Amino acid sequence: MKSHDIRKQFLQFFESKGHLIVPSAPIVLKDDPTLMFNNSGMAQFKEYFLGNAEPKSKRIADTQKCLRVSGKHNDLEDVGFDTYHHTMFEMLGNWSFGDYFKKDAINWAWELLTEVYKIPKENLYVSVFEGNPDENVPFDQEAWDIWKELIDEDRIILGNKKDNFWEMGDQGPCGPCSEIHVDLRSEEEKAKVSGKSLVNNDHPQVVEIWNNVFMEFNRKADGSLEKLPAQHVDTGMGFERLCMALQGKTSNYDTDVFTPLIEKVEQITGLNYTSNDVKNISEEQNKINIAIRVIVDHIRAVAFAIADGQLPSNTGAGYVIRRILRRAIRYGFTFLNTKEPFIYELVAVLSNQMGEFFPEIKSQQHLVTNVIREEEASFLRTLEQGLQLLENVVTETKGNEVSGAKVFELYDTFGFPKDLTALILKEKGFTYNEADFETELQKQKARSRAASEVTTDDWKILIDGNVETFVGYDQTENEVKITRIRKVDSKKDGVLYQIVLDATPFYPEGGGQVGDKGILVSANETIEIIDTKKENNLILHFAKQLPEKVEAGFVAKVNTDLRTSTSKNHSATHLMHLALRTILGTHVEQKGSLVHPNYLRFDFSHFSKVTDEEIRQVEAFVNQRIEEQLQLVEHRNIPIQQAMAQGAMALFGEKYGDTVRMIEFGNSKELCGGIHVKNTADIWHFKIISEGAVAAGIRRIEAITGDAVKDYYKNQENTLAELKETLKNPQDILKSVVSLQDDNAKLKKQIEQLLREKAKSLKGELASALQVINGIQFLAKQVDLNPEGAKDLAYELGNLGTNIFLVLATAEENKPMLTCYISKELVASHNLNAGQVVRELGKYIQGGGGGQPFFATAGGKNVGGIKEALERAVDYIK
Amino acid sequence: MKKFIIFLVFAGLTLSCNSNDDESSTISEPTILGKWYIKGGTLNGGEFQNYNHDCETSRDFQEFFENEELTFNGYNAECVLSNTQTSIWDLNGNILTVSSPPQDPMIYQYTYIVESLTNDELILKQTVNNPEGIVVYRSTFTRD
Repeated sequence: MKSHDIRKQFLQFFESKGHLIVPSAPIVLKDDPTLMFNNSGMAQFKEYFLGNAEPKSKRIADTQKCLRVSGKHNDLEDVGFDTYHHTMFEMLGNWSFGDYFKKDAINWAWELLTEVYKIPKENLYVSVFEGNPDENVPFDQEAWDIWKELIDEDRIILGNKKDNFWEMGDQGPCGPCSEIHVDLRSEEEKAKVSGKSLVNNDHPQVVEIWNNVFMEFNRKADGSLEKLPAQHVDTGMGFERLCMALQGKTSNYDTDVFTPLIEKVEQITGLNYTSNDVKNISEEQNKINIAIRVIVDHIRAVAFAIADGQLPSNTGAGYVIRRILRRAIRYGFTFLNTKEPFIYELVAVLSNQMGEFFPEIKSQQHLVTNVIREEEASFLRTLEQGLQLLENVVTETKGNEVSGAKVFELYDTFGFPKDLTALILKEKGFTYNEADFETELQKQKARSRAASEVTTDDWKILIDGNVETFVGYDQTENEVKITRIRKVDSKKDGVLYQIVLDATPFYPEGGGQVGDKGILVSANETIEIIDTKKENNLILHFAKQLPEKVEAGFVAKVNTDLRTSTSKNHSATHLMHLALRTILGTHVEQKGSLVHPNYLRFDFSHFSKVTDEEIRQVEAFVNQRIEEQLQLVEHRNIPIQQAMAQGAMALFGEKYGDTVRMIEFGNSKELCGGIHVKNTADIWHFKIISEGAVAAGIRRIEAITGDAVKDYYKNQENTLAELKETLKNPQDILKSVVSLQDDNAKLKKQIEQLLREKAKSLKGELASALQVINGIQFLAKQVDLNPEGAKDLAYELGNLGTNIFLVLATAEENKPMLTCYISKELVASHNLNAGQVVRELGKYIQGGGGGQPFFATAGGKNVGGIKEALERAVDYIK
Repeated sequence: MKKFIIFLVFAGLTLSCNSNDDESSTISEPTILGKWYIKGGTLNGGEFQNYNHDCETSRDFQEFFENEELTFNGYNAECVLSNTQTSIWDLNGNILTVSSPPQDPMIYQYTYIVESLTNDELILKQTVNNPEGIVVYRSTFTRD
């Protein structure tokens, strides 16, 4: 059975059992502070298990892209060395959210494996949690009894907490589980050793294929367990292992999940991969096999992460992706002798294989290919550079042990991997001090930890259940109860409390709009809310202190002054977006937005300056719609297809649900969750206060509305009044300013003329001061001119002969400047260079400069150094 | 990668000093660091359009700094530097990412492909997705 069909049959089976089939969530997580990547099938359903949101259906099934490369579940360093560890893998799963429990889950698992996939029953073993008195969790009798109806008791194994109690992380949902294991060994091997004894013993052919988790508990920060509000089923079946079992292979890499990728690597490198059935291979071939397994595994992880929007980088999730790709490049470089980029060529194979179920890999194929090719090229250059640097380190090393700190520097600064360093050193008869390396590594980790330390307490639940709602579209004030609280202590913000309310009117930061501020008022106290944000579908109100009586009833009051100003700026942003697309063209795309009470900021694609005339047109367009008093038409829950059909603007790359909120003012229609005015007349007026580029092809406009515009015009009026007063209250201010400008221009011309005459008179004076030293007419002198005058004078004096060497200094407005002129003939005959002269003499005035060999200038900061600079000038001709 | 580029620049400078070159010596390895003046660009592969600088004597430019800052600088018609926006840059292979500085209240990240980087010229490719279709814009910058 082809892997494609195995995946399809799983989904069809659970669809027939009343499950809703949903697409895989992105592999990269953006709004979960506890996880970087989706590391299990259940991660996207976490909110449902925690009771923070309602699922679309109580029964769901999917195939989820997972990545286990950081934190508690980190398989990265194992990948390649065996036949079953992976970084990225698919997890087939079926889910019950407070619906069916152990009986149906176990029976369906058995039916699918033995009747649909037709795995012989005698090849299967199951395990049941034995219980853990220390944690007050009992033996799973219910699961045992259900299994007993399906399989011989001697095939049921009792498992301990390590194997049969599933936990997502240090905190979060968890529960006992029941695993299904398959024995893929030959009959001969089975006869020799019982499969039961090999379960959970890392035997490559006796492997777990399906884990049924019966989620009953929540693990708290202090390690204790609490009962979840409802019981759930969370199952996960490793797709790659299932394919191995169903395709009669003994290695995941021998299934058609990997063979097309392996064949491509073979074709590119000219090397052969040997399947797991081939025994007694050479050490050389084993290394080639490992390297190929590393590469075909890692390309999947990297390609899907990039397709889901996570580019390799030097921090966070991006750094993890870069490390995975670099590991693949390194294995290719070291064991497959690949010195040019080639891994990117596997993206097309992957896209063909998986594009049907994961369309993002097909739609992003071009980007993924480019990013990987560039990463490869860049790291291969690093490796070559590193080899040279390592050569230098070895040359400088006394004895045969290289400093661990040096190896760490290569690793940390240039990304040169330590195991490759060790390998190269070994070939040269050297080792490195591993303890020193480890010390440096730990020092760096400690620095990193200290910089980002955040301690988050457990939620203290005051009101149980999924009771939180948002009422802020209709109200700015509401009677509320606190449902949960927790303390967060961070280096950056200090101690803050996060408060969740049952029916909050506070808008959480989102869609570019800042979060609401306000107060919580009870009969006895008032708590200030300094910000509001959203996390895991919960609206968090940030306060510097907790109420004394958290169980009391409160009135939540949004600061309406700020809210009103923000809503004006938000609605104006929509109108301006339409204006820009109408006036500048449809190439305008919203790239970023900030909606603040005091102003709005809008980044958009546009490739030239927005002219003053265009700015006036945009302002007029928006103000016209304000004057038209357009009523807000809010479609709070409209199907997304309907909104798009009506011409709503959506943000590219944004993930929207099946139903969306659409905001409409006349022909401005946008998908938006923010707060808006009821009528455009409420905006009062719109004024652009700045326009400029923020990056190549991206312009930024900042604008104001409402009272901020009134303040703006008031300030302008004040400035005008001050100007009028300064000009002695003329009848016509503009005429008066133009007259001043004319006078200024005339005076400038007169000054220039005077300076020229002064320079002429100086020329005669200085010509007679020229000294002849070693046959060269020399002069070094400070002159009372501006730098331009000094330049003219130097040229005038230079015309007096062919052997002139001048250094003139000026100090206009206390800014020292040196000007050096050397006759071209002298430059040639005496190998002199004015540029070098001013650079060296410039040091005395704390500055520098340059120019041509016959003329150069240097500016500086220290007027006091002029004297010494002039005294040293003669040294050049002595 | 950035550290690597800086290393190359440093290595280039060191070589330059040691070989007693005159002031006309240049760093052989092209670097994105420093000032780049906006020249213009092409839209969807069409005719090259010059950028309209408001000031005749000072042109708008972007400047890449070693401390990861990128500034975009615009002059007004009076030739006063009237607009400077600061972001953070990262160059990884030929993928240039420009993102918001840590204290900025607005979070943004803009990505470009560096199509050409020589001592004199920088060409950045940008793709815009909008309902009317995909727009590809290439911005050209020069050193002088």
